[in-house]
Amino acid sequence: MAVLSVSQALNMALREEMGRDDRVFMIGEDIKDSTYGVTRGLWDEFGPKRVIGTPISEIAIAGAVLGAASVGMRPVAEFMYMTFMMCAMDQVVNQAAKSKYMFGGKAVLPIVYRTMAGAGRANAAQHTQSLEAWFAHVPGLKIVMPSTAYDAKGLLKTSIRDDNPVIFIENKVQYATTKDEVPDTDYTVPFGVAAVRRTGKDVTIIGLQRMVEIALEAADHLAEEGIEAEVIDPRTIVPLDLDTIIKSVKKTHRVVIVHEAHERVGFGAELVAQIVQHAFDYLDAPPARVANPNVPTPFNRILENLSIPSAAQVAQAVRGLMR
Amino acid sequence: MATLIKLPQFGVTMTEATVVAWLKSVGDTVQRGDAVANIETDKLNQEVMATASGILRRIVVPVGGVAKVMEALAVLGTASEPESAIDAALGVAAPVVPSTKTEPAKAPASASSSTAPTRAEDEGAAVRASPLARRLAGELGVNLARVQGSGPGGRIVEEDVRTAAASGQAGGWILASPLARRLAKDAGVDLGSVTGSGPEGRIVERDIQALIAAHEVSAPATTSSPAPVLATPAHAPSIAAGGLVASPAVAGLTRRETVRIDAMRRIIAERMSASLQTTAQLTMFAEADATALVELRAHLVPAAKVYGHRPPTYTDIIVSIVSRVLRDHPRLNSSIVTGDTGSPEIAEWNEVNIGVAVALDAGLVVPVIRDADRKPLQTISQELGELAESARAGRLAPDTLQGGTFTITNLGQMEVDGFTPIINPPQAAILGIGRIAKRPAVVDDVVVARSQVTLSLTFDHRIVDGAPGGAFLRDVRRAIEAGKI
Repeated sequence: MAVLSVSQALNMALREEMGRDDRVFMIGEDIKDSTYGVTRGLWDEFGPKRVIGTPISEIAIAGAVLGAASVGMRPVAEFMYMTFMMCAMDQVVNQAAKSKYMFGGKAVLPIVYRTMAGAGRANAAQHTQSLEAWFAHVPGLKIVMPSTAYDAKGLLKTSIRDDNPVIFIENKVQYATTKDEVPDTDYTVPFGVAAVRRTGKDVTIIGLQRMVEIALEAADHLAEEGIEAEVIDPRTIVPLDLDTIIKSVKKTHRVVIVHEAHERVGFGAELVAQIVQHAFDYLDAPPARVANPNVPTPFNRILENLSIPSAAQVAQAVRGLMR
Repeated sequence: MATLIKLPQFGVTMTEATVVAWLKSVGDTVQRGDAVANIETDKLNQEVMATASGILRRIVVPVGGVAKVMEALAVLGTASEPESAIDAALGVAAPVVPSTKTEPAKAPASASSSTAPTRAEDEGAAVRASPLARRLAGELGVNLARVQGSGPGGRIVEEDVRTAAASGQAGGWILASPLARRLAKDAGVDLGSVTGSGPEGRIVERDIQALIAAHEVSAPATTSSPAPVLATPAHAPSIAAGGLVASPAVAGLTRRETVRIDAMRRIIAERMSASLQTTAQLTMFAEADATALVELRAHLVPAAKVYGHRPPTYTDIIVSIVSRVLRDHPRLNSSIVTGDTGSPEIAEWNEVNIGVAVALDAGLVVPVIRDADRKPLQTISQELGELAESARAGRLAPDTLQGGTFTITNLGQMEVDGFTPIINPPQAAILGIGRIAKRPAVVDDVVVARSQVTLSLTFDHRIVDGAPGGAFLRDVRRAIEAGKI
């Protein structure tokens, strides 16, 4: 089995799905050349009618896929940076997310909005935001956040085959640096099933996307101190596999949540609320969050790196709960 | 300045305690918050923390001694302070009565006794506190009735209020994690009697588990439960402490390791010593032919596997057999308890609740199979499997350790034949099971190899005499030899 990067795995998923179903097409800025390599080669293979490059207009991309999906296509839109999605918010949040409800279930909108979030490439504040919590707040959108190349492929295929709008978030650092074994077979990874990346009995660490890697690194450090951390990767935050999380917290009695989004009203806040509601009697320490500070992400590479949760910070948060 | 370390009130019903151990010696430097002594009441074992820093100058209550709440246990001072200052500290601060019992402060003999403010009759005013402490308590939301005063005459001063506020006693709300709160509720532990070891003095899981592990908390009194409420033998503190009588170090020997005596070990030591010192134990042995038992199990194990049940162990089968034999021998399933009139009487229990000794790395616990005589083997096997697993994981619910009426201990795995088990008070008897091994036996006047097991029955001769004890053992042997369940 080949070891692929996340971008190679995503490329494989797109190629397989476009080959499998000719209703699937892609649209976005610069996707012919593909800055991060996700769509590389697909224009040559499937041609300009199925790999459509657009001018710099997110609202045009969002409007095109909304229309195409409503007449039976299965579009995959690419928003190069997640922050650019704000230009298309009405199309995504007010139209795509709600049409199925507004039309009594008759409007089927199988749209995948691929986009890129995270920090760590010195792209500055306007190109560096993790806005999953914004979209998670809106009923009618599914939110996918793969943390491995294997999951990236399997979840993208599930997203394309899903009949609802899906926000498919990719991490800019993981494209090239996260590599694992990816089968070249046709497999899917289901929504709403969390992965327990490491089992432990002392504390549950829930990481979103790249923060799973940070959590695992922290768990290695903690293991040397005799603290056994369980690391959970929700993989999709809508739908959320709350059962796995609650089961783990009931076992460990402590929880730390790690995400790259800002701490205030980040998805960690929702997780804390759910955990407190469903596992209150099992908590032996207040749930903790490790997240980006509540400031725009700095352009300066050193400051940017300081703003991203580190394994040392996660380990420190865990130690704080073990006192 | 010399400061007293007083016996705190760890629970509302606590009036006095016995000093079990001094953790510091005279001359030791003590930091505020250090554990200085272990004390014990009929309900709990607890560490007493130093409320100030200094040198331990004098131990007032020695090990085995009893102190009333708020009485001085020891005196802290500086190294240079004369003995007379220590005496003075003890003299000035006469034992202070707990606030709930405090008599209204007598007005000073000098003036203005007739104009004493009526406020003095308020309940709150019965607590002696400095005006500053009183104002601060109001600001910080500290309930003065819960604060221990360290000022002259036990008066609550500013620092006491600040300490109380910092330790989470503010407004009578006790800092405890939700998990600790639930565990305490399930186990019937009064949180007010627990000292928190978490951040800011929060009571956390380990604090409650330590109490539970030490069997020191009684299960919640649920009247609906068929479990008999067993009277715990009121062993005297001296006997309890006797479980840990230490010998002086032996000259010429060096230590390979020093092992701290934890709560579980202390309780085992106390229980076992108390058992031998307060009951009249004797042990009888009987050899049973286990051939039918072995065949029975050989038959049951594959069947259990087919049905996905836990395969029964010999212990499971013997629990099942013995619990049924016990129904015909109620005296072996009894306890000496305090009757309504206050005099001791023998209670033969309706319930046959079998405790099964489970060895742990740190010691031993005895989870209880309730109503074992009314449960099919499969249920016993299932429950015992789960209990043993929970015990080894340190997650036994406290009620699973309560209410046993008879105990079985199996040392067969250790290839022991016979032994003299110690009764688990207040039970009347305990049955030890040895290894099952092939030995020569006489069958129809011919010596043949048969599976045999030695049964070791210890019982309390105060309530069971030799003949009924022997009759019980005989019936157990016959039931095992019959190999039927």
